Amino acid sequence: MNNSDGNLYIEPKPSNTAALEAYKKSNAKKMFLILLMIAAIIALSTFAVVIGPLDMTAKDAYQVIAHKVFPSFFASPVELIEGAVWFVRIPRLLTGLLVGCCLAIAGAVMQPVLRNPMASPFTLGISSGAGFGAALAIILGKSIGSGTYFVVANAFLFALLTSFVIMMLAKRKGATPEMMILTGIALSYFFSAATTLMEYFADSWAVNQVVFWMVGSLSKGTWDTLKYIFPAFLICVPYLIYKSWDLNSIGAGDDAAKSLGVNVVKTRMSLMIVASFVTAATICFTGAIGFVGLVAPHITRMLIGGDNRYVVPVSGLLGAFLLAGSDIVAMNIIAPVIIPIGVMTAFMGVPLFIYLILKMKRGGF
Amino acid sequence: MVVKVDHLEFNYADIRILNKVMLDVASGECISIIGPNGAGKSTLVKCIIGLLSPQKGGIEIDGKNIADMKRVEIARKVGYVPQSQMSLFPLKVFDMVLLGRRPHLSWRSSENDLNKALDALKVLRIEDLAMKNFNEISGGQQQKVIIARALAQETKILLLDEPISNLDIKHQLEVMELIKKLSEKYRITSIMVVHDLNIAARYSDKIAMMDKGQIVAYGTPEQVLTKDNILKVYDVEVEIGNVQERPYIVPLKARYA
Repeated sequence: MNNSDGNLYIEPKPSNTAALEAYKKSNAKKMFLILLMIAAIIALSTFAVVIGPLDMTAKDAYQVIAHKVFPSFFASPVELIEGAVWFVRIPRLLTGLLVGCCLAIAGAVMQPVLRNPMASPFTLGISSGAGFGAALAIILGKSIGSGTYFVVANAFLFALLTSFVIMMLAKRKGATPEMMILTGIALSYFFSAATTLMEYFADSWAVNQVVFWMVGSLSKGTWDTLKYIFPAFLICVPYLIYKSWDLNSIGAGDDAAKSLGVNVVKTRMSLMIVASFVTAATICFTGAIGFVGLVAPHITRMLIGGDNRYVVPVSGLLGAFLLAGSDIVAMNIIAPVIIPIGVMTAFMGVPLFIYLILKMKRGGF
Repeated sequence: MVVKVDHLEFNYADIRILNKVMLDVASGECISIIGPNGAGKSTLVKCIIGLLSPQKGGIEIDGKNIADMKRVEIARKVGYVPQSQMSLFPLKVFDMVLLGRRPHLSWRSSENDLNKALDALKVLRIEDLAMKNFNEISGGQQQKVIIARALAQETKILLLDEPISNLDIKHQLEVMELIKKLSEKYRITSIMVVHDLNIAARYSDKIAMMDKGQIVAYGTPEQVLTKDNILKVYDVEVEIGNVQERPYIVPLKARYA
């Protein structure tokens, strides 16, 4: 082992590498899990596209995709199937996968950054802000957007505004995690109270709409909305995965992270800004789907331990799987009634989560 | 001088914690900082590593003022072992030690980094803990893991804030022998806060005795650990003997007790 001048100060002992082998084996298992989850998501996606009142096979569904991607090579499928698959089911599925992935990764990042297992995009009041923005548009008819994006634009603006206020207040006080969490909780109560006040004076139709928005739905996922969600995913998620090494340092404590060369205040702020942005950019389209962001990172840590270089991507995959899977159940369990996705994720996620808390040894492989 | 502390002043709000502290440490020296609780020992160490910014005075590492250095630049020169280590979402011990490679890389760890983390584990003789969760091992083992992380960092200077406070007597001696060996054989400079005067006497080249934010005595163990100094700073009467050519302190009674 060399110091920075190149002097040996630890004698190399090449004989025993058992610890290193065990470490590599554990990492290989995590990589295998990632591949397994990708395969599971592909299988789930196929099932999600095929299942429903329309009679079709997986082959029909893939034919639609192949035809849409390479129109000159693959024959046109039945029009009815093409319409259902390409314009309804795939956009809805992709919305579920992307939103689930983004929310889970935002939660996986926020928990160590704020050193709080309860931290998620929702603890910080981002969803309450979005809900307030949506209520403002629905009840009072005031929005910065118009047309299709009348509610969405307002939800996005107020979700971001919440994060902005947290960041600004935190910056004045040195951006401590406690400060950020407490400000987030306070803002969450404030926006909830403001929304309730509006609902109190609103007519029942508008209240209904606000409640519908709050419980979340993937039904608004179209190719148009994906034009916004996908770029947000593409920019934010790789950045958060790239920063996962720093996340490990920050998780070891601020002083330790600083002594390892991490600019803690700057890193904490940038991670929070990106995680908040990706949350705002996704929930403004779907409504408040809260549970995934809190629970997917915890399930992941129970399975594979706390190394954020794996926790962040695996949480994303798990979040995608949970949300898209919940949507399938929500749509089909008492069809044609669709149970709100926010309710379904909680119904499916809570038992799984409690089972894991009781059964699993912390740390995983 | 590899570390030079010049007229350092540090205040928390209006309370002065460090008052015109001067300290010169030569390459390869093993320095202990001693003093009663609240004397400013940990604050001094945190200023040297740049965790706290002093209001006045300066600190030079290898002739360069740390105020002009980037954090990662300091991290390549100075390793730090904090007094305690929290871990809400615990890493595996191997990952914790691998974090020491953070100043030398940006994202992925190379084979070289993995080998260096393994070497650090071996030096501390804790390879068998490699795959345990950090929060599942004892306080003493955690302390060793953190020292291993600082070794994996490969710095010329080590700052240790009470590195043996959680260890039993055997492990205390093991860790101190290691620190001494690093300084004697490979000219690693170590500056550590210790409470045990006999450990300081036995393993240090020099001792800095602090009281009320100032260094009141600085020199060899024989020069610093005198009856008068200890009475003045600790309010404790002691008898001083000599074991293996080092002073050995036997406390007799606390004054005003």
